[in-house]
Formats: sequence, C-alpha cells, structure tokens
Amino acid sequence: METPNSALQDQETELVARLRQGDTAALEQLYHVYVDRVYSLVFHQVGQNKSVAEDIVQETFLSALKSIGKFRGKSKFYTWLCSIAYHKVADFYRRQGREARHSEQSSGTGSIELEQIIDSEPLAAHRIESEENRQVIEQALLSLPLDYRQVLIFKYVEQMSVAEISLIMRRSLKSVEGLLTRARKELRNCLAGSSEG
Amino acid sequence: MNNNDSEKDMRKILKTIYKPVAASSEFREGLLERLTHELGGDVRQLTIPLWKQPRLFVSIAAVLIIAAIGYGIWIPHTFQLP
Repeated sequence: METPNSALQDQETELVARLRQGDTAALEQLYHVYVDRVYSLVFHQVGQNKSVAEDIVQETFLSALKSIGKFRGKSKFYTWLCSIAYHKVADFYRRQGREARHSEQSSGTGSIELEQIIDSEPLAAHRIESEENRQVIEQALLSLPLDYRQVLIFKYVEQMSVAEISLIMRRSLKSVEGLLTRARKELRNCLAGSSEG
Repeated sequence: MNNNDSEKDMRKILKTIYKPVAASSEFREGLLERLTHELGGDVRQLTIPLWKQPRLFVSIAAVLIIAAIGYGIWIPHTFQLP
C-alpha cells in the first residue's frame, strides 16, 4: 500500500523530472515548498544574519538548479537541498575565517541556572522562553564549532535521522553519531559554564 | 536522567531557540524571478549529464559508424592480396 510519504516523494520525483525538462511551473512548486524551510535552516546556522542567509539561500537554489541533473532521487529532495546549503554555509565560514571553537562572547553572560534547564526533569520549557535565558542559550550555541551547531540543528530542529544527516554532511553513520554526542556534551558544558560565570 | 528525557530536553531547547523563520517576500520573489530566468536560459543543457544528452550521444554514434564504414572501405584497398 502506498503511504502518504511515498506518494509525496513520487510527486516530488515527478516535479524534479519536469524541472529537468525546463518546466517553470515545476520550479515554482518546488521553490514555494522549500524556500522558507531552507531559509530558516540557513538563517539559524549563520547566527541569524539576514543578509548572509539570503546570499547563501540564493547560492543554494542556483546551484541546485544547475545540478538538478545530478539529483538521482536516492534521498528526499529537501535532504539534497540541505546538503547543498550545508556546504555553502561551510564555504561561507571558511571564507570568513571566523570559525572559532569557543567564542569569548559566551563567557560571563549571566548566572542563570542553565545546567538545570538541561539536566533537571521534567524540563520546564517556559523557563527557556524568558529573553535572558534565550540569549544565554543562543550565545552558547553560537560559541559551538560550526559542525556541532549544524548537527544539532539537523537532528533536533529539522528532526532528521542520522542516516539523512550522514548524507548531508557526507560522513559515516558512526561519525555523525559521534559528532552528535560531542555536540550535546559541548553544549551542556557551555551552558554549565555560563551558569557558573 | 535517562536518554529519552535528555533527547526531549535537547529538542525543546533547540526548538525554542530556533523557531521557523520565513524569508522576506521581496527576497522570495526576487530569487524566484532569477531562477526562472536561469531556467529559461541554457541551464537545461548544463543540468543533464553528458552521457545522458541524446544529441551528443547520436553525434558520437554517427562518427563511430562513419569511421567504421570508412575503415571497412579503406582496409580491402590497402591490403589487397595478390
């Protein structure tokens, strides 16, 4: 029996095939489905910088269009787009040369009991919604190495599987799992550091 | 704290910080226009891998056939047995 997911993927495959033939309606359909999702993903990965996000999203879609012939449908179209965006973001940071392991900005930003936010159970989500706490967490996330931040976003915000992330980051499953473990640990350390400061 | 709770917490935190954001309508329209323009150009030729381009494939096949026929005509004249 055909599941809704496979029906969606079939529709997507058809749209991609039409796009390869130069069908602008297919382009518009795919574009409207994904532009905001890709924008949101990139926006958060580049520290919520609107103009940088716009540049990278533009480059991502132009690259995708130019290499649509290389999309073989082995992954979801969105995963493929994310893969292009991921490498564009990495290129951007390489160009900028500002990928620092620890940002000094993250230290001394307040003495909130953030460790409890992570480690207490159950988590009171409303506690991280206060503006002050949000800022501390944002700073902690920004201070993470780019790969750590990206893998956390793919896993917890985009809710992608490890297999999908491994396709995007071109890493093995084990490598992605290891990266995730280290990223979680590093985020906890950053937040604990903030709470102690 | 067990692993499931830890995963849930991480998700809650990250989802709270990274809320979905939409691109400005100006940007969206501008980019779509650019993409449509690119698609209207010669992008399609670039997007199809060389080995999948029928025109190229036919041209190569034609050259090979002509070469084979030419070679077939030339060989008997060159190496005629006495």
